[in-house]
Amino acid sequence: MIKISDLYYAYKVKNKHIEALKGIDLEIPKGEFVVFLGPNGSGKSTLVKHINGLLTPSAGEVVVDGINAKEDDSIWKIRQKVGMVFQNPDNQIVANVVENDIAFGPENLGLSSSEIKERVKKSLSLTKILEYSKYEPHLLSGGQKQLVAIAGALAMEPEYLILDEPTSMLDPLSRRKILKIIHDLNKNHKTTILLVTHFTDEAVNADRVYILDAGRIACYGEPRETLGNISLLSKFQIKPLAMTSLAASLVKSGIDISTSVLTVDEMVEELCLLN
Amino acid sequence: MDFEGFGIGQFYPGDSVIHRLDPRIKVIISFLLAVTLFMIKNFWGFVGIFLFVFFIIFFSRLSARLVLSGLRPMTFILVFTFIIHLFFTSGTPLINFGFLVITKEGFVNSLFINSRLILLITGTSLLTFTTAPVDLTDGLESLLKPLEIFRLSSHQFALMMTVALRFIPVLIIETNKIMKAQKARGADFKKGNLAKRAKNYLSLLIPLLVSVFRRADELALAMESRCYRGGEGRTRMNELKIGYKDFYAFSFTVLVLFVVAIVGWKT
Repeated sequence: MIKISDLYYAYKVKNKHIEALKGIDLEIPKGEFVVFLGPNGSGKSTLVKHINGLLTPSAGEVVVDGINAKEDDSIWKIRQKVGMVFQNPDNQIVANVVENDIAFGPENLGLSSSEIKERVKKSLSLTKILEYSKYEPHLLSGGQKQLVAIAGALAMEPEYLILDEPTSMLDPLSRRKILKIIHDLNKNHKTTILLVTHFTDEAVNADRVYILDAGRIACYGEPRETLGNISLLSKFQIKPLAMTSLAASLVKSGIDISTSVLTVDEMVEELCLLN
Repeated sequence: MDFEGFGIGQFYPGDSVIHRLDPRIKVIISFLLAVTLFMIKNFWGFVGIFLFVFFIIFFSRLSARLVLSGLRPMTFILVFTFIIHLFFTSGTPLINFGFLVITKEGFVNSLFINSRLILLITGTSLLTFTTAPVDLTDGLESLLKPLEIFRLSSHQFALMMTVALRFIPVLIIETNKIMKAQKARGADFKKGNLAKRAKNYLSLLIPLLVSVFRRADELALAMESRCYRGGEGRTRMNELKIGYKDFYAFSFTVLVLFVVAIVGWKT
């Protein structure tokens, strides 16, 4: 379980004191799929960077499975538990051959050669890029590169996987593929997923959605409570789902359906119930 | 920017005996070859090295044309040294063009120097032709380990090499992109005098530099979150092991080069 209590983070730029996080409290149980939404500069990335110890809190605490990220020697234990994937795949691939890059994490952990090879193979098959193991990264597409980055994090066998806008540089097809793989990891391999995103549709199948605004958690809840609430979303400049907007317009023009419709299937069901 | 046809330093995958040799052995063999080349002083010495290089090319199953294509960027230097040595060596005159004199010594000298250069380039380029960059960095890391007594980290050196190799194509693509973007804004990289062109290149270099720093910053974060903390306690996926083939190749090389060096020692 990830437990964050009263987390503050501030930094200085040119003598200006900037507060990026202003008192965050949250608990993420193991096995959940959690999505962080929010406008630019709301503190999403800053928040998740605290969870694997890339940033140290100015005040407050971050505890992962009972390990406090503040203690110096515990940071490596936490980083092993919490994998991290960033936005730009090009800037997180270290080695010039795919399998060697995926081996980078396990090599840092000091595992034996045979164990590393096994993990590399497993990560490659989990992300479905086994056939690219000998490729040079620059010959792959953006989506494939991001899968390499995910495989690189998975090779550490993390219990928690943070993905910081992993799909924002990708085409829709690669985006869907990556989301499918993340959901698969969550369901079949019990990896807890923390997904930071700009895309509302990526949050539909999450267990919980956190909406951040100006360094605070503005609200949180199941997707239906958060994404289904159009007035709430517009308050934080988050684009509502197409079906939710449609439902709101329909209600406005006098058709009596639920306003918290999220998917096309739900919309079809609602409309059929009208007769 | 066109980097095609730049043969030196490229790797040509294959499954030959030479490809499968331990990279460390290949580095040492290349080094010994270079040293021997600078020791020999007569015709038979060069014949010996030529046969040795030819023997490696044959067993690496690379086409001779491909190996020779590595010489193309060096054409100017080869022709230049040849001419310089041909005309500016004193000795017995052979042909006389008025003020230019070709001497017998000059002719032999320029032939030897060019043979030396050609054999050096083809011989050592065989190392990169037959060794994957990953293996080469692993090999160098292992060979440079003894430098650790001088507090130089061979691991850091190898990592720098890996990251450099990884980012060369990324930065070439980025350079092209920025160039196009600046051209679209009216920058001209071809016209004008040297000062003007240099100034125009500034509009390419500054964004590139900014991007490199940003990338370096992000890469460092990504490496840290994958538990990177320097070479300490780090293991390798591919452990290098010297096999009996490496032993044979090494012994064979030492023997051949030793004989060549003795035969080629006398002027």
